[in-house]
Amino acid sequence: MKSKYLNSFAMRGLQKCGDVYIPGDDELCSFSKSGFIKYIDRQLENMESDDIFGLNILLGVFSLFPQKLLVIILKIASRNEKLAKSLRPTARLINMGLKGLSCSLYYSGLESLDSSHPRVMEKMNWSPQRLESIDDKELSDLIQSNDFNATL
Amino acid sequence: MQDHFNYIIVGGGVSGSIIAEGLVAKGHSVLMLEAGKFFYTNNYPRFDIDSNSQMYWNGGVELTSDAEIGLVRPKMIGGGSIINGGLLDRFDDLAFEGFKDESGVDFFNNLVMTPWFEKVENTTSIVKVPEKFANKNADIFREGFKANGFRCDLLDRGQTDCRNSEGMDCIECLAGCPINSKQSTMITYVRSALKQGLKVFSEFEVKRIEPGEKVKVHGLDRLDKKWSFSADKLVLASGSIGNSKLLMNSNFKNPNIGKRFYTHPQYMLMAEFDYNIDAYKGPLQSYKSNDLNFRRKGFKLENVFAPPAAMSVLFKGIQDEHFYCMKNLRRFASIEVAIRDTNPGEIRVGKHNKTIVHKELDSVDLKRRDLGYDAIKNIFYSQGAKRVIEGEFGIGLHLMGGCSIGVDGSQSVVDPEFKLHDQKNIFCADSSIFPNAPGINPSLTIMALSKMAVEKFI
Ligand SMILES: Cc1cc2nc3c(=O)[nH]c(=O)nc-3n(C[C@H](O)[C@H](O)[C@H](O)COP(=O)(O)OP(=O)(O)OC[C@H]3O[C@@H](n4cnc5c(N)ncnc54)[C@H](O)[C@@H]3O)c2cc1C
Repeated sequence: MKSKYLNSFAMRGLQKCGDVYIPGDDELCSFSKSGFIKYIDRQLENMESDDIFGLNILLGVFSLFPQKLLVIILKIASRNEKLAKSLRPTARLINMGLKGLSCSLYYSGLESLDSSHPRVMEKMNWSPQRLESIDDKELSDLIQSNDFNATL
Repeated sequence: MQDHFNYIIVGGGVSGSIIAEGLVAKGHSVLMLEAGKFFYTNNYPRFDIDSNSQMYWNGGVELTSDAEIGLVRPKMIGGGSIINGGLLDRFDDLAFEGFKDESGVDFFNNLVMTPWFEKVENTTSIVKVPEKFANKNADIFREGFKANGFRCDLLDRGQTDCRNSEGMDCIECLAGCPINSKQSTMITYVRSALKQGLKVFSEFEVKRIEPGEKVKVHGLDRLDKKWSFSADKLVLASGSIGNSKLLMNSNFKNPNIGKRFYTHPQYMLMAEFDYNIDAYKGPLQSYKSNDLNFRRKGFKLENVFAPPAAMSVLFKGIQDEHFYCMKNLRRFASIEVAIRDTNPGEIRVGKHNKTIVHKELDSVDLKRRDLGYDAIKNIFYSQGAKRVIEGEFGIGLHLMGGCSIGVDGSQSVVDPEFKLHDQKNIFCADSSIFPNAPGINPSLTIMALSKMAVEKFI
């Protein structure tokens, strides 16, 4: 799986971290099995380049760690209130950043690669209804004629 | 392409939309420059990862420097009104007194502001969220309030008919209402402004402004091409962080820029029940606290929930502890406490234009939060909750201040005529002018102030 924003080490690191938050069970597949990582570029496309640079380094380093060590690190990061005050911001950043990344991919309602449960949210019976969108032709036409961006 | 206008508006959010409509209605040529896209019913994103990355700055959330609060900053024409809860409340006397005391500005009172609220309310359908569709999450809130002797009320929301009887679940409209019921400023003001000739440049990020007889505005389009426009007058409407950064990047020297930043930090508590709550059903929110005691103590409560991707970051822990909560999401109810924060934060610009926000809760703010926590726990346990989980971090949705209004030019950025103190032709009336935190949903007042600004001063 290739990404425009994450290098191959970082992608491996994300798979491993994702499994710490989403280990999977009989009913739902793990993060790495789900194949949701294939959507990562959609998630990162508008992130600042400094943050993407930081992610590549962090996830690249994590890709080299054994899974057990990663579990310990992410557990400490998630229990950050027990850490010294100076360490807490970094721990929280790691915790929220990595949890946010993997969980947003997994719980966004996208289709997974795992054919036994392609729709995770359906399997969880999380099924909000959405009525069909109104076709707002008037607004569409107004945008076409008044937005400079439409002429680029 | 036309490059000079009577007015340029930076930011097409809540305030920018209203001011744009007011100006074109007076016959002025107006250009609105907005960093985000034009989202509307035909192209709202359907999946959370897309809405997070496309409708917010920096891919969804920006953290404060101590990573305690996640700031959520909308980025699109219509700004916050496209993705927000749509709750529209007038300020009470306490909020206006706080504003007046801090700023010295006379019009901060209900007598003067009432006609401006009315003008907005005449163009925006505001109704009580229909109680008959209240879901179990809301029932728990209402019954828990009763059991504890607290007072609550139905929420006032900008909406027409959400068609809940036909099955519409309003959690979906956090990425834009597909049926145009939620009263975003796109529906109430931008459409009308476009019909009257408003020009827009979407996906255009303003990088710098140059004051002068004619104000110059420089920025980049989506292809990173540089553009410059000029105008007789400029209106800043890019929100707390947007305006503060822009003024700092343009070397404005007023030391108050970026100061007095508030967010009404919100904390969600989740309670597990041994039956399905299905908090996504029907109206997303139905009730708010309406309890003088809470108001005096500096917090308010609302029943609320969020899409699973957002809930997942709030649940603590890793592995099975976290996975269990997500798998059983249907069994969770949630209430948020929003505090009227007293300790101001500060916005700065870091290397590579990075947003840096220092914002901490002091002991007063922490006490407010903890009182809210106690009330929520009492509500949940009175309704049979198995356990209550505190969310992992605070959320800042109401970003306010940074260019505060005031009579004293040495203490504020914007004067009582909505003009920057040291400038002749640069105006601002959006959330950035708030001098402190009102403790009440801010949108309706931003709209009323923008209406007043455009009709009387700009
Ligand atoms: C999830 C959520 C729920 C909320 N719920 C409620 C609610 O129920 N009730 C309520 O009253 N309030 C609510 N709010 C808050 C409310 O939406 C904001 O207070 C309001 O939108 C602020 O209005 P504004 O005009 O100041 O800024 P915004 O509406 O944020 O608009 C600012 C615009 O400026 C643009 N911009 C910024 N910088 C630049 C630049 N350099 N160049 C070009 N454009 C730029 C941004 O992209 C944005 O579109 C909520 C907010 C969020 C995020």
